Amino acid sequence: MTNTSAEHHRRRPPAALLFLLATTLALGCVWAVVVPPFQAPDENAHVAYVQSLAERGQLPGDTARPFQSTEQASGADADNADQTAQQLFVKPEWSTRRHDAWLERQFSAEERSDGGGVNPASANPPLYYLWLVPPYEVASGGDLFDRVSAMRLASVPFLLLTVTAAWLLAGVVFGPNRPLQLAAASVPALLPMVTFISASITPDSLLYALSGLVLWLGARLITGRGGLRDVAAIGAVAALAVVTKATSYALLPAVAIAVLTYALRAAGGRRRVALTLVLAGVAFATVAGPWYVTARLEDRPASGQLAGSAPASAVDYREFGSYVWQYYLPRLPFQARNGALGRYPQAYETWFKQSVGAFGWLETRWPGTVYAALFVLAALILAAALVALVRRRRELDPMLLVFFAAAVVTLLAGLHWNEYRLAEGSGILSSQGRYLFPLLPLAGLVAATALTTVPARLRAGALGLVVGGLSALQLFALALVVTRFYA
Amino acid sequence: MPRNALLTFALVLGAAITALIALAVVGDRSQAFTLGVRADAAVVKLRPRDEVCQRPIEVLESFDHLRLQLGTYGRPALPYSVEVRPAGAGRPLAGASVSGGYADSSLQSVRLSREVPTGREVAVCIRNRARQPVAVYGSSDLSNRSSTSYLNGRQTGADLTIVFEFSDSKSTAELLPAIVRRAALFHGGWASPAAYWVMFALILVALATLPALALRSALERAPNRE
Repeated sequence: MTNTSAEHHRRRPPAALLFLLATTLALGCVWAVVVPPFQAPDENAHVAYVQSLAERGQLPGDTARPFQSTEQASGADADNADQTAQQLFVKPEWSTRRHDAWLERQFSAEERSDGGGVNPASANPPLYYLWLVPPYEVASGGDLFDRVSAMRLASVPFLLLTVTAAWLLAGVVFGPNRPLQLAAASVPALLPMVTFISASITPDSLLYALSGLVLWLGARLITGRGGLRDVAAIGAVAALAVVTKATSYALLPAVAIAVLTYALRAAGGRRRVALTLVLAGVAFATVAGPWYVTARLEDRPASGQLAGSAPASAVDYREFGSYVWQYYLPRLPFQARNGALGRYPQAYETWFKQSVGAFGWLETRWPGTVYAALFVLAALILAAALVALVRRRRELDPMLLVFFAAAVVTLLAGLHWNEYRLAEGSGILSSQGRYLFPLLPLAGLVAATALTTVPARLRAGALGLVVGGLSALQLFALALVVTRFYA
Repeated sequence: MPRNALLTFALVLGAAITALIALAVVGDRSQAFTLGVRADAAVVKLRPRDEVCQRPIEVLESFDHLRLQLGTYGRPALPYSVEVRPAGAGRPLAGASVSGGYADSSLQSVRLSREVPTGREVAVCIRNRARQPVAVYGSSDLSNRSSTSYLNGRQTGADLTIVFEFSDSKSTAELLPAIVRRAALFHGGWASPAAYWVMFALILVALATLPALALRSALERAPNRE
């Protein structure tokens, strides 16, 4: 092989990844046009956000304006969207006559632009919504639902990015090992809940992609594969994540660990450390800065949901600790029952069940036995991964584990903190399984690590089982959603 | 080595497709369509000879049974009649008389005298034929946007819980044309049943081939680089 062709080969994406991405794209497009409009969590609020930007050129959140435009409210009404949300026995509109009547309705520019009020998404930073303005405009010759479909389809590329990030991360951790990379990337590519969320209108799709990139860049820095370009990149990507959704602040401690580890391990002394930290900081500030300035000028919180809850000083830390304990473990005799928590263990209901299947507004579920079977399977995979970790403990870079652990623990801690504070006022739990999806590439790593415990002669079959099993789950999930809404 | 992976993949996916087909063929669905009104409370009290009608209801699929929830205020089953009429004027399309055999506040399935065909706009009317009051269950008027209930011709501000059923239950496979037609609604001007048929066929082909190709490439390709 000549140098040029070797270089060309090196730069060409692996065929296995391309086929997986093609699968992901096909599935994403199908989910985008199968789920009825506004039947994904808070999708109505996210559409209202984009419409406010596209039609008014303004961020939403004006207390004097309605939640959504006249056009969107009429569309939701025509499709029976609000009634269908969370109510299994209610269906979206099935009448062709009413659908045709909707298509005949014309909405003035004013009726498209009279939204922009406060809604559950209006406190979010704007990056994802800005991305959706061009597809919104491109489809604006059609009706509202043309624009909803266009925006959903425009979200699918972020899923491809998430899958690519998982592939690359596995490449850093395992070295260039296509089967293990395929196993790792198959998790975000084929897990139905991930496709469902990423193919709906929600900033989560971009958040998952950016988190994946942060994990990959951080792993490169820690393992010494990255350089100063990666330092600048991780700062910029973390900033993009922060400008996408406030949850992303949970990534920052892990980013700091990655950058610091790289700086301390690289030769060059204190000056090099200072240069690295400044570079990361400048990259972050350059990307996130304009949003902070805009938020300041607009007199709105830059960090979305992080602001506005009860002050930290008012929190009863003992009670908070008890809530976290009861979330995962049986209540101890001296602990008061936390009223917001449902049937024990809440972690199974929220983190597990909602991650493997809670479609629509969480109401469309698998039968209970399916969750139980999937849980056993997940527990076995996790146990196998732990065995592999113990076996390979001498080869492992402890800082890589610290980096991953920081990402997991900070996200969980942030979610619990936020949920606890919100539940104090409302008595209702707000976390959902999808909130853990920024960690999807790590879930992929767990699956791939588990695969290494399988004897070599059986490993190919096991990989076929992983990919086939996830593909089968996709089919069943599509069937479940189609029958819930249309049968 | 790729052969093992491909074989396992094909076995798992093949089993899933077989299971799906089996579920689609043997499944029995008796619901034609629903107003989507939950039986939250007794929303209308029918005194003797009172009549409550929910209208206008577009018949989305033909039906010959109705599911209702009636309360008798603790008494044994009380007689009542049901009629399905054109939403405007005209002769009843189907009807039924119920003289007993149901428990207080229970969901009951009422068999109509004949099938009501698809496409008409109808009113479903319940008349109390007892000497004691009967309660009809439903929910707020917001539950169903396109129809509402009228007690002796006057709006009640509530919707009735009515589910429309067919006696010959159908499998999901039989309902596929209707499912695809419904899925194509409210997704924009490009969406049509034909486009959805093509899309569903393509995704089956894609799921059966693309991951298999990914597996083969991952296990065959010698150059392994990040």
